Amino acid sequence: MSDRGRCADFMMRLDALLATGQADPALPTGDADQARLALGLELRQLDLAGESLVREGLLRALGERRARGVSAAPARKFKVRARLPRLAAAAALTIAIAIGVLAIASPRTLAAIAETVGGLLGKRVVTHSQEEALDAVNAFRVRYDEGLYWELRTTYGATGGDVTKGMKPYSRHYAGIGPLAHDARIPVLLPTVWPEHLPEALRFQQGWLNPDGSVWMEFCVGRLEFMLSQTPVKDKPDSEWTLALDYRDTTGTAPIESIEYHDWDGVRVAWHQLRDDLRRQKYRWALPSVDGEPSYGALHWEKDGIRYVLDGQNMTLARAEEIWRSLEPVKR
Amino acid sequence: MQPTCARDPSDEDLAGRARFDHTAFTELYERHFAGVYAYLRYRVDDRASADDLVATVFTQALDHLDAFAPDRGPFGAWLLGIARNQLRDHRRRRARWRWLPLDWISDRPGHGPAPDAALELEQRREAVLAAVSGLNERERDIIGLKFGAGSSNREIAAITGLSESNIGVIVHRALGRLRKELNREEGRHV
Repeated sequence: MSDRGRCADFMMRLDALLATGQADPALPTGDADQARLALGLELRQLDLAGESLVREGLLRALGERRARGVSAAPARKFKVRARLPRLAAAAALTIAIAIGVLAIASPRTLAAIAETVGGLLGKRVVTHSQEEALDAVNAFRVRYDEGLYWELRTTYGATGGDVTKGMKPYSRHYAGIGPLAHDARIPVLLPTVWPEHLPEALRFQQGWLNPDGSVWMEFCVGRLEFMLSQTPVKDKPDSEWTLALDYRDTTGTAPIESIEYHDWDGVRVAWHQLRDDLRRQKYRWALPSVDGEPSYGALHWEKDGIRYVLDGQNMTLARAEEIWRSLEPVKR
Repeated sequence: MQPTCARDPSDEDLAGRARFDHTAFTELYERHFAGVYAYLRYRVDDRASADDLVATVFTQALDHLDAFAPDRGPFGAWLLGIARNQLRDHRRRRARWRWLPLDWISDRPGHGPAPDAALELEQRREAVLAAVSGLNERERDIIGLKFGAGSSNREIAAITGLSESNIGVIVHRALGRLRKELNREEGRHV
């Protein structure tokens, strides 16, 4: 019998076993497959969901989410009955369309308007780049260490240069689920830095504010991307980031080829790169590099009690240095 | 992932009602939570990530119930589609950050010493999951769908784009490898 034929027989026996919990006596069983069948049944019966900490809390939170009006009903079935909300909705739509048209036709004008409006509102508006200004909607996903599953969706204004820089949303709504709903505001505790230079039209995509105080920012366009993470290390040994690097090296399936150290303006940085084939072997879901050359690169350094990692696909040392030299503290 | 008896409303009926009726959504949640969670748990290496992902899956499902089209497949397969998309994003992010202490909730209070039987079960579960983590991504996907989500070979074929016979071969081989790995681990601890 061919391999496929044997497998088809095996699957028939397995399905019968999974359906009834007992082997079908009418079907022949080979010794070699007995252990497989038993394991298959065990895998099916393993109560994995029993270990979940969120089963009840999540359901409750989803109910609250719906009750707050984050409804699953189709938008077209929603009727605005009152005149004021209807007018407000129409005005908002008109403004959004106008901003969209202006952003495409004349981004500079839009930036100038943003500066003026920001000044009038007493807000500091720094238009970071045209691409970023057009980046209308971003999202932060925030994960609390206890409440968990707190989701903060951040809607940026179309001119939200300062918004992304300071991680202070221009306007926002909370779509929180979880027991810690009393505290929606997540402070950014770090003296966050932001790259002033973004190569090849990369733009801020999303960010994470984590319970350990770290901030991750993801920038991307198409297949190009990089991540900048900033983690406080004041309570940890100075060399932990090096250990972390070693840890990844020893636990990965592919070795980090080399680690170079550089001294840039008195800051020691470590640079390493994975060959594209090794990277894809290690991270099977990774996209191929654009040019087939060494692809995944990461720059590590520490400064003022913060560990920084700048890494990404198609990241070269030159590109990393360019970004590194453009990092500026966000003024909040 | 199926209704518990013939008189129960179908998933598709419930999904239609769940847009406006939270009781219907709750019923869907109760039917599918264990399967979706188990699928995710077979795919990721820690409980916290599975918790995180399952929450995202059901939140997305709640928010986008109107996007579910019964003529394109069963509700369970739709949920698993969301789960697979979330996994892709999750892996993309986590690939770089595996050394960061993300397992924040594993030490939450309230997890006292377990009784012997529960401890044994827990150890076995960990051993099995450790063995599953040694499989390649495709094998984990199919093991998760087959044994976690309880999907049929036909459903797995529709979700993954593989043929049913291919799935049979992958399951057969993966179980063989798992068995071997678990035997080796057991031998190590004897």
